Amino acid sequence: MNKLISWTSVFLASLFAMQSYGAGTGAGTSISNTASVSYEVGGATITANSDPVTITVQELINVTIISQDSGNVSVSSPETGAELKFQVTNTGNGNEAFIINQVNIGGDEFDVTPSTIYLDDGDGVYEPGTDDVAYDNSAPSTIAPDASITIWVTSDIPDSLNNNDTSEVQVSALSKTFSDDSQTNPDAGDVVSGAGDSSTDAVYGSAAANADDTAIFVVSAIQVTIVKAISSITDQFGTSQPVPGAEVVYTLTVTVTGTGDAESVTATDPLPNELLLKDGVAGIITVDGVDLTAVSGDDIATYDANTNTVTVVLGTVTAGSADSIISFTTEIQ
Amino acid sequence: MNKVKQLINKSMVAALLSVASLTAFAQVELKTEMYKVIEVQKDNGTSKIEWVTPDNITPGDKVGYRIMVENKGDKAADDIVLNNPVPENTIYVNGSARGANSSIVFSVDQGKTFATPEKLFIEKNGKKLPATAKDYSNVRWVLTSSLKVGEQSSVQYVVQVK
Repeated sequence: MNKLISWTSVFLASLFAMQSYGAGTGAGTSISNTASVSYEVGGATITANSDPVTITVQELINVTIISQDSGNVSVSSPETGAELKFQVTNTGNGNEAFIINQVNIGGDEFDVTPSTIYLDDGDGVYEPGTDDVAYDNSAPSTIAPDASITIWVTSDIPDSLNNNDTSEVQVSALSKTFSDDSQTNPDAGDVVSGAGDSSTDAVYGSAAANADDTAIFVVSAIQVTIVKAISSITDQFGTSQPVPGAEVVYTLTVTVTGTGDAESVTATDPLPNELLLKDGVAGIITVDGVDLTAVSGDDIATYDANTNTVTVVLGTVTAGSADSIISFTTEIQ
Repeated sequence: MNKVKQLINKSMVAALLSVASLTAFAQVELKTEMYKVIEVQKDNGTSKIEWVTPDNITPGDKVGYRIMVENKGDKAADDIVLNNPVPENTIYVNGSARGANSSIVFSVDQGKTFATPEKLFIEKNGKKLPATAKDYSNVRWVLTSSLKVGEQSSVQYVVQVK
């Protein structure tokens, strides 16, 4: 069954690829065609051309908007400014700006109050008000053909919700050209004359007519967070330069807030190639002040030399209990 | 010196006259029309292809070219060969070239050589691969019968805007 599904998706993917032209030929491009003929009369060869026929490629407005959250997004009740991540891609052949709309989908346990939309600064990290600026729906920035932006759509979550209550949110993108023409729900094939790039007509594409995606908030009475920090750097010269051979001590802090128990909590830290656990599988991983061996199977702490990953299985953690502090020493290669 | 110039001028006039007289004998006129090729859904669930006035062409659209050839001269024209490069920013739609009483050949080298599809190859990463429709740079119709005085014929093909 799994195999059948994967084959089907491969087939669909290839169909889609056949019909996809990326941004395609730019709006305003002329396509000219001249036919020629050669023929013989009485042994003489004569040639002639047709008059050229020319078409100008019009602006096809197309856009996709795709949720970037994997699975449901956990929120508290209440919570201010809970964020959903979306990618908006201009799949048309001209420059276009898009208005982002957020609506509640019915049939679930609660509705959210739409709040600010932020434009990611390019690092994919949510930094409202600092690196990420508010997305201005009254004057959205133009996106070039084939270019993408990442946006953070934020919502306020109401008070007094139950654990596992869900709210489905739909986020859509509308062409500014069509919005400016008072067309708020255009169909594929609808046109705004002369409003495209290079004074072409703006033609609404089928992707634009279906440019929406949904994401689901789920109320989770329990929240697990992990924070990684460098505790110290010690080099072989007695100073603290991060040079090859220096030892870097990392601390992971796992915090469980809310109410109830978080089950099967596991902290995983895949180290970069430039860092290895000191002494490898013979090394030490300290959990809440107790030194544990890095070798697999004898305790909750493990270092896998093949994947260069530190794993600590914390198991069931009750919300509000003391933070779990994991620390280990690495060597810069 | 002046005489030489006069001679050259005279010979050029003569050359021009001879071309004019030839075209007067068998003037084959060529006219290209273009259409938007659309698929129209019918009530019974099937669809049919229609050629309509080309408005609002955008990437992915299909454009059909119909090339009309007419003998407006006073002599039959033989060995008629129609040529059409596939326009820039478009790709030839496989199997779309038509033409009565003609053999249709294609080029993958900007019109230097022509052959039927199964005899066309391209080189990719040092390998010889069978050419596909998107590789075609030119379409050629070789008419198998001559065009008599006053006679008309037409050929056609379809491209897709990239």
